[in-house]
Amino acid sequence: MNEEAIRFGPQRSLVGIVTDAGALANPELPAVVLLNAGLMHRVGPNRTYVQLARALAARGHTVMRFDFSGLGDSRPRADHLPYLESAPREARDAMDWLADQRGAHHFILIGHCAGAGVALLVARDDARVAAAVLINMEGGDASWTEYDRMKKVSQMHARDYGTRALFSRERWAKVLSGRADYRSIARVVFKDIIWYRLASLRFQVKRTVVKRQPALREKQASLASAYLDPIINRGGAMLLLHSEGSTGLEQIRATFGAELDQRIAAGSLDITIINQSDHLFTLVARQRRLCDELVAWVGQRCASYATKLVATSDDH
Amino acid sequence: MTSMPTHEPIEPAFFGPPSHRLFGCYHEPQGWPVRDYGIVICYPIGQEYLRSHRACQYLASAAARAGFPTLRFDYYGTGDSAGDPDELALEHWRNDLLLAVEELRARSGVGPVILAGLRLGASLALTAAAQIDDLAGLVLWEPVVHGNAYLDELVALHDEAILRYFVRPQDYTPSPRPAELLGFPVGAPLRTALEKLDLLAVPPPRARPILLIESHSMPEHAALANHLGARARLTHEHVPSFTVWTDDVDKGLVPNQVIAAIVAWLEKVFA
Repeated sequence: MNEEAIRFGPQRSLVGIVTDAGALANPELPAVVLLNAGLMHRVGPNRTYVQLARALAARGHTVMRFDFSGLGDSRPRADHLPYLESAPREARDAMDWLADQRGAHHFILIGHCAGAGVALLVARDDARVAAAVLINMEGGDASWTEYDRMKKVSQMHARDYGTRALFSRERWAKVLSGRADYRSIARVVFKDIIWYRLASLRFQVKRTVVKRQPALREKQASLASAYLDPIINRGGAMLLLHSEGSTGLEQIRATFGAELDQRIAAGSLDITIINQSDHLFTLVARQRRLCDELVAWVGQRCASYATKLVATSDDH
Repeated sequence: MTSMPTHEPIEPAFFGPPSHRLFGCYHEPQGWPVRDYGIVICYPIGQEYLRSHRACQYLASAAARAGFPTLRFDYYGTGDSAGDPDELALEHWRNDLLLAVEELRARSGVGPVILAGLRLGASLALTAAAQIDDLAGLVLWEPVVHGNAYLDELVALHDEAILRYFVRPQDYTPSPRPAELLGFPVGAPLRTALEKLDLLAVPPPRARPILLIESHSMPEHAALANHLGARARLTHEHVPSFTVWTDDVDKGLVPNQVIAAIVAWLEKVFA
């Protein structure tokens, strides 16, 4: 396995690592670019990007993980472009470097959380992108973020009280001997568990009512056409990979509605759920599952994409 | 000074033998004078490494802007360096530290070297000090003093993290010493080495300047200060700040006060 540290971009201010399998690297396969998960540097959550880079390189891909400007080892930009403009531009800088230096023609973009959002934007606009893998993509309006927070806080405290506190001799001793913080217990039970649960249920009910309105369906069709179809229409593919129970997938379903299911049925979009995992794939077994699922999907989609490319060139 | 973004040239590169490639970033010294002392930054490990990467990068930049050639690097099996997490071992990392010192000297031409470590990186720096020729000094930033207590702390955080899962993992059983902690495997050799780690049993480097810096007063740091002060020229500083190694990465926090205090000490002692 070869790994090379590079600096690239117009000011050579972006830092990345390029991984390939040397003589076993297959230049016909799409090169892979891994995009920062939030503010975490290019090794990814729990070093999953390093694992993914090496696993994909072992199958012949050239892989680059790098830091967007101002993250990890890359310098901040002098032009102070906002993230949603600078990050897609820098993802294209990475593809340009791979095209110039490694002869790559097609690309697979992989992003986690905020990186998934960037992957989606670049896949929409750049015809060189053959596939995009969106891992635990989140987004949406502020009410979703608040709903997400309330749901998680409520779940966490309910689980803590239901599985630990209620059965803890030590905690009961504190309660019965007057040494407990009763105000804190009341706040957790009435606000964090009950009130937050009710509030998140109220949000879900509201969403269900809104879902039936024709205006929403039109909006969903328009969003699917703007964000999903560009890559699908040029023969590319998309994988939405989510941790079980993540509100991100609920958000995506709410954003695209039945349009999402139509594209899944047509075979151009896949959804994979990693069971019993958190947002960052903390357990090592879930990291392995993430890596295995992703490598298998890329292999399968690359074979299908190569067939489509041959068919397209025959048509011409 | 330290709150500003970094603009000095950073040279990312792999170094070390082909079977043991380590990734590092060399920060060229800026301004005048360029100091005769180089600095090797020693990261923490595991989840603490991910969360404090930004802080260590800022520390390296601030040190370079103060004129110190500075190298930060990933131990084998961590970050961008070669190796898998199940190969992690404390003893290997001390050898990696020696390779990093050689690399810094080759790049910058400096002789005397200062090791600056955070959390377990500080513990590694202190335990490797005796093996470094021409060691000029040490910066111990919130060092892990007792490995067993450190493991207990990580286990508690790990159990807390599992509790926050959307759907509870059925294959996870709490254990006092699990085989993984906060996203990273902890194999038996690493676990055993950590359990044995006790900085109070490590002879301090004689007559060398040492900065012990902490944001929260801890009894074990006071004990370490007593231990080190007997032989070394110790400065023990308390600078209130947050614990960046446990904070959410997406908060983007950098403990500027601590970094400024470290660089001020370096400038004063290694003028």
